[in-house]
Amino acid sequence: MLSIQNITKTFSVRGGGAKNMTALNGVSFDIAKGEFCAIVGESGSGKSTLSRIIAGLIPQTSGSVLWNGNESLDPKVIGLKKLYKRIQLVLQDAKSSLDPHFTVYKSIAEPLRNLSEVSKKDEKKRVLELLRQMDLPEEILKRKPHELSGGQQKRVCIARALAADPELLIFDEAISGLDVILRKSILDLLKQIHRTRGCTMLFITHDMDVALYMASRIIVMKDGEVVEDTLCGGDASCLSHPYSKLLAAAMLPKNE
Amino acid sequence: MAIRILKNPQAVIGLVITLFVLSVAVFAPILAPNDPEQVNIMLKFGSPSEQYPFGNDALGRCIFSRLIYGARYSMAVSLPILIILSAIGLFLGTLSVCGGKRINAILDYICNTFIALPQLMVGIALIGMLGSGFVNIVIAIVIGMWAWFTKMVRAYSQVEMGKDYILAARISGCGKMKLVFKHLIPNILPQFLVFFSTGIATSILMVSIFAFLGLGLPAGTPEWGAMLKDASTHIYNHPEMLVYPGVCILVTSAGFVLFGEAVRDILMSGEDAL
Repeated sequence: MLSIQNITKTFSVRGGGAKNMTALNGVSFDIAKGEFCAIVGESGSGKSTLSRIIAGLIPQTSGSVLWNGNESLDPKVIGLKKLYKRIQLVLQDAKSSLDPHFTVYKSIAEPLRNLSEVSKKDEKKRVLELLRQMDLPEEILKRKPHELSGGQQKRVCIARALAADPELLIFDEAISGLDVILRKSILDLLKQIHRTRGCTMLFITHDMDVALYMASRIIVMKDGEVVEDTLCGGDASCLSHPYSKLLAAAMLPKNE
Repeated sequence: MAIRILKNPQAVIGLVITLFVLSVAVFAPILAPNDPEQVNIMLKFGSPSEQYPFGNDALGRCIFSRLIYGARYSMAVSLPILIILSAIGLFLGTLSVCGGKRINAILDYICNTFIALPQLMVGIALIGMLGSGFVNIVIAIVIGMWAWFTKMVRAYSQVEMGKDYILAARISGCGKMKLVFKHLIPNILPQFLVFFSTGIATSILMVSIFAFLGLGLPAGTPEWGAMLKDASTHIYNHPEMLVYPGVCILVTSAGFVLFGEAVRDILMSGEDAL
């Protein structure tokens, strides 16, 4: 479904003489429809840059992102509406990714208004349905982001992403900054969404533990390159690259 | 927000002064005891009385009535200036940020060029060219101040455009127009209102300065700056005539500045608290 072909991204660095910093270097992989794939790597490995290139927020220096084999995903070519009906991205910081002046209703309804042609009545029905799916009470609809808890903010962001009914959902460090209980409940919610909706998911994280818990396939990135791409069954035995093993070894030991 | 304003003494003082001046401007015909332009040479430099609470000027006109109408003329010039400046600032400031690198660079260059020129000198030169009068004063002040408003909106917009909610709005399918009108402008509006309120004070002072230099509204118009200029020739015999309009300008400007700065402080403390 999604094909990443030889993506390279360089940023020019100012100061101390102009030079380029390579964030991604020849990254290639394919994601099949319905797959739950995790991209793992430490900070600065290029995971977030890759997610933003896939979501059309920044252009790649070279290479291509293709949809269904040969369709371009460049927003200039296919337009914002078509792109974001296919792909939605949930950003790392839920609080700052919600407009402080928007109520929960407006935040969730925005992609519906922009990307789907739904009537006002259907819009409300759909927002309430999403709210139920996210286990959120109806009374928060009129609240603004600062009146929500961290978990509620995160769920509202996920509901907003689901409102467009995308085929591919990207979660960029979507659980960082949450406490362990909240983290588990959000992860289980994502698993449930994947099961019930069957949409393709790309889960970006620096936490190998989480990646192994969530995904059936793990792509490990280091210094802007893919070092391992493997199918996993929930434990670290599938990992073979020394760097992947290092990330797995950094996981906290489980209590016997 | 309203409760926090009412709990802030500086904001309350500024708000009371501002509302008082605006009320005086609106109800000037009811409040003024005499016709502000009626000349009565028999009452030249008349002392304060029940009929003329602040006495009479060199042409026997009621100083108190002229001060009351002065609020109306000063506001009538300042508010249109601020509304035009706001429209220009919001349009060009957001265009600069959303219109691409080239438009941003060109607008930045033009703004810097205008900011490098002293506002007052630009105003004087333009009024010298165009002639005095209400419309020309508005044009002169707008040309002198538009770059400051544009730069301010641009700076705030640049900060907001880097935030995640703008990115999320793009992912939600917002085009540039929706991004600007639904997300960007509502989020820079609090800071913009502060700049607006302090801009009114600057504008009143600019109009007064033009009037003082003889470049203001037509002769005889009861405007505070013009009254100050007329009174300056009698500074040794009747210094009180200089004090009245001077105090009016000072208090009105202070009212707007106090309110604007208090609102800014309230908003900033609110951001910290969140």
